[in-house]
Amino acid sequence: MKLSRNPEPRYNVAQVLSVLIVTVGVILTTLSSHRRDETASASYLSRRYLTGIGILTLALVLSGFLGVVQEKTFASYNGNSPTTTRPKKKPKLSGKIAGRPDIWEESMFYLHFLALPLFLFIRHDLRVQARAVFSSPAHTTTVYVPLAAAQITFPAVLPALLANTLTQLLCVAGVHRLTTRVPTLTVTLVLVVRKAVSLVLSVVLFDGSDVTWGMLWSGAFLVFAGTVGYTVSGRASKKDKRA
Amino acid sequence: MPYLIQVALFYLVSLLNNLAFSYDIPMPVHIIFRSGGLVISMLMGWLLSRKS
Repeated sequence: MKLSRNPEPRYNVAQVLSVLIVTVGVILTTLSSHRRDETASASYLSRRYLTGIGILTLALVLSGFLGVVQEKTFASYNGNSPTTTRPKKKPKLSGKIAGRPDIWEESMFYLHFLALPLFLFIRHDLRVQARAVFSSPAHTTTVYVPLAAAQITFPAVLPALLANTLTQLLCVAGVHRLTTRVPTLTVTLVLVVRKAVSLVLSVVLFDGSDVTWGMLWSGAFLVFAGTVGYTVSGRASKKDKRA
Repeated sequence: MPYLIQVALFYLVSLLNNLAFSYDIPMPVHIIFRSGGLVISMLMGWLLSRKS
């Protein structure tokens, strides 16, 4: 992989520090969950949990890889952005950024559309899941259309599934729209707030898991603070370099 | 087609993230762990810039 655009070290001290903070936060969070119920070993992390963490780590590494590849692709497209194919995009933003929403949209589309055939590989899994959905307790409700009322029966988890998909769509579209309008720092801040809110919600609503809450919250705080710190210092250094 | 690598990676990442749930990972830990992507992307950038 050739990515020889910046040979000089690209990170300043504050950024490295922020990343270290994030690392500590993640480790703290990881350790905050022990499985108390299993066997006698209370303080040991179970093998199963470690496997799950391993999987998450692998996913994280791969997504980092994905980021690098994406960055490279965008960099190579930046010169001749495909604005000609979609001329009706608002040209309010200045040149270099104006090409970006198109690239983002294109990337999002291809990423999701081309991945569809790959789901053939896990079709058995999908079938099992679908069966689980449709064998969940049925729920009957009355729909009032003008002049008539109809009773429909559907699996109880279906509304949740639909709501999840819909909000996902809104979220992804919103994030990408945001990226094209406001500086990266604002995007990061908004994302951090979003994550914090969803964290609080998931703790408040599904308070069933075996975690040490003090550790979890301090870990979460470190991760979020580190992320914000990284973004702030990154912007400062860039401005420095430019001036 | 530069998208093929991206598609494969994206697919793998999504699958792995879902797979992790079947290994008793609590939701809060899952959320925070995924926010740690910053560390990985910095390591990646460091490794790549060092190689070149």
